[in-house]
Amino acid sequence: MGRGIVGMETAAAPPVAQATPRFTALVARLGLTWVPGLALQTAGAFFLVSLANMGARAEAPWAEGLFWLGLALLYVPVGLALLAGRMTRSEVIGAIVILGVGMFLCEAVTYPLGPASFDELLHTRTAQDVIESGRLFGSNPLLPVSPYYPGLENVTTALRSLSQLDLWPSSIVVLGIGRVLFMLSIFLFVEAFATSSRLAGLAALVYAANPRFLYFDSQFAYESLGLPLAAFVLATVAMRSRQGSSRLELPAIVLATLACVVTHPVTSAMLGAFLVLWTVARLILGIARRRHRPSPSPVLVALFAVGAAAAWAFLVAPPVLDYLGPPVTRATTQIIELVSGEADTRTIFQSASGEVAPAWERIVGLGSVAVLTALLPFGLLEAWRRYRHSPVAWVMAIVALGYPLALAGRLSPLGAEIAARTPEFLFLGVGFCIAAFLTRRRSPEWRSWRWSLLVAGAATVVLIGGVIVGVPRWARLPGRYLVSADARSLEPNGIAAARWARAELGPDHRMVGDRTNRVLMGVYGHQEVLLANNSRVNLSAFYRSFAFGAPQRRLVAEQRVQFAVVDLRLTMLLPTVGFYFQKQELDAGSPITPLRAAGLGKFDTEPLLDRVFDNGEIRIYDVSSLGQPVSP
Amino acid sequence: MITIIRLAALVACVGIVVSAAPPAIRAIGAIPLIFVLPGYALSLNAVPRSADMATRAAWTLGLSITVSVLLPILVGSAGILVSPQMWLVGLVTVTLVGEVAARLRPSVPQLQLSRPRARVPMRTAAFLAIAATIALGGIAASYVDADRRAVTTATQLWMVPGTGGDVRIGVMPYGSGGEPLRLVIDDGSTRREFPIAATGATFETTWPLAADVTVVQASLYVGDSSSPIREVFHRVDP
Repeated sequence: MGRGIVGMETAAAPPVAQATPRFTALVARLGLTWVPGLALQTAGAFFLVSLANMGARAEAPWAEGLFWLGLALLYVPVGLALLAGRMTRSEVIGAIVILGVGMFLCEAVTYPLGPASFDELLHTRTAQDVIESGRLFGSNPLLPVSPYYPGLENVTTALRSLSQLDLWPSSIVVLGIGRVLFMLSIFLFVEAFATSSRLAGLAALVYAANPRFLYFDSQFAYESLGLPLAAFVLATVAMRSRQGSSRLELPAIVLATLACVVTHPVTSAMLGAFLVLWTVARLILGIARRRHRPSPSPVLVALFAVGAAAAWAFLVAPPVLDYLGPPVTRATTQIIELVSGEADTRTIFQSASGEVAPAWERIVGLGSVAVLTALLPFGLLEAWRRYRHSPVAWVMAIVALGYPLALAGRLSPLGAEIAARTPEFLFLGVGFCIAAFLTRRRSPEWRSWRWSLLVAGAATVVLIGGVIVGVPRWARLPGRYLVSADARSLEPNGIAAARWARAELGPDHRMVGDRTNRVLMGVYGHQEVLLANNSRVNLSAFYRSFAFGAPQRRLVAEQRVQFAVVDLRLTMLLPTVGFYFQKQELDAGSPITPLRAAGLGKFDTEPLLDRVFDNGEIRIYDVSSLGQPVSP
Repeated sequence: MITIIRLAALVACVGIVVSAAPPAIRAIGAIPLIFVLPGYALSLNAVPRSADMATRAAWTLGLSITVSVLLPILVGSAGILVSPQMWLVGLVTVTLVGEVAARLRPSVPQLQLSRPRARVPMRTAAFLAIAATIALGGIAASYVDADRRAVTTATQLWMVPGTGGDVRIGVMPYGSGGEPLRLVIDDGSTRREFPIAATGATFETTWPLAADVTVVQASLYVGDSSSPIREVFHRVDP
């Protein structure tokens, strides 16, 4: 297909301007193509990001600046090279794969020793259980839905089992290979219907600027593998019938779709929706034009994707309905209330603990949104002009239109949470439209240094602004301990306490704790920690009350709680993510208040309790006697 | 001939994986066994052999990952546990089935395109090697730096019920500024003091629960200080 596509590109895509002659001459004199040069530059930029992470661990003031510089140097040169239009198809592919892997490595070196983000720990528990028991679909007290979507854990377990590497390096390899597949698939998918390798490369470049690409979709969580599989399915469907096909091609695509379905529920739902829209668009365009268009039909794969995702959710993984249903319902309600003026609006650029982003971050963050929003109409027009006969281009345009809608959702508290989870899908359409604009017939003279400067500036703002909008300040780089701050709350003493619990208490005890210690006890201590995502389990009241009253004793009795973890550091600071124990604290409507020392002190004054562990910061109490009936 | 090379690669990967080599070496065999060989063999049946390198690479990676995602679900439904043996047999079987099917089904439509010879000029290879070295340097530096800082500093003191009417008391000293530690155990009728090295191995002892004891308390002190830095206690049910 490659040669066919290049041939089509000549017909469909406009001739592009020359790259900067001096640079091209230099590249030629060195006997190089673009790829090694970009690889070297990407490696250098990645090294700067590594240094920035090291500086951040030492709380050096220059760390943040170096981090932004490294990111910009990682992204912008690839963009300029793609815009220059002198790259061959292979070089475009090489460039975007290098970019994708480079950005993945930036996340991997932030916390290189083990799983650090909240989601990584949740999935680590599932993988541990598969390795230890040899069985799938077990129970994960930290994220009950995770064992029912074991795709990522299966692949990681394969490498762990065959190589005997630890789980963490195995996961890094799996995610790195997944990233290569992801970039290749985005490129091949867009190239298949846009018939331009340059446009496909630029679409992948814009996609990489989405706020979730750098961190969230690089972490050890099911979406990080679900997305590459979904993109692979889209690419294979789009490439069908282009160069002859085999009777086994469709079964292979169906298997890949099934793999996506059992890997991540949201991604498979989005894949199904995309394929259905594609089918409908193809039908409408076909009817409107009364002629057969030789575009591949996604109808069979669409039917299978929707059917398989629904069947898996209802028959195999019912917990996913409880997991995804309530947030979507609440977000919809909040957005309706927002439109009708009845809801509280959310203050953007302000964390749950009250920290406000510096002025420059607010400017760059808004600038990023402004650049994309301003380019989108032009991109949509260009997509209409060049690709209005392509059903899949229509779907991409519809997806792109979701971007401004998601921005509106960010104004409500829960809508923001939902909107924050959409860029990885919406940017597929945004990337295509903006790439269509950037490769339009009357392109500006990219060799002009003024244009290069403008484009470099815009690309920097889009990338850095995306990170600012998508990742809270405290989560971008490592640093000192913070209360309830995911990776920033995981430190060696907490991990050592959890390991002690496994060694001395044994695994699978019913345990309660704050958000951080719960997950540490679940993963490193392999305890049966209490799930705190429903109103029946009020851990906040359990810890905040100044004495053990009837509700607290009832909780211990009903939930068969054996141990309680008390972290004395919680009284020092407000929780960075907005709550100490469970999200219901956020829903209470009033600002979170600091945890009082008296609330934690009751564990020492209650005559029924044993303090079994103390490391100065973390204490573990045997609270099982609280649940026993009091003798008269 | 190419099939023979692929089968030889399969045998080599299996050989490395089942060897007693260190994990890093075994990973060199495991990675192609998981991420390349099954997907490549299956892709021979799904896409033309003349497909360009990027398309082939995507199919290879995509189908390989698909196999690893679905294989445990398939064999698990037959009651087979997920184990290294399962992975080895499963992946080798899928690869061989793909290869055999590709041999038996040569009717996959072919496009008669000339395939470029993959050549990497010396200078390009040198640049890529330097880039890889820099990237590995960044990874190594980050790892060493993070590892150096990931030091457990909080000394642990614990007391858990024993098996024979006693309690087990332990100290894991993670450093106290070089000063020695003192562990004092008191059950109301008996009081004992144990010297603990500032750093070093875990200290453990057992404490019998006498009939009249209601509370056993263990306290850890630094040097001659009278304020304990750690305290644990066990209350005996009356």
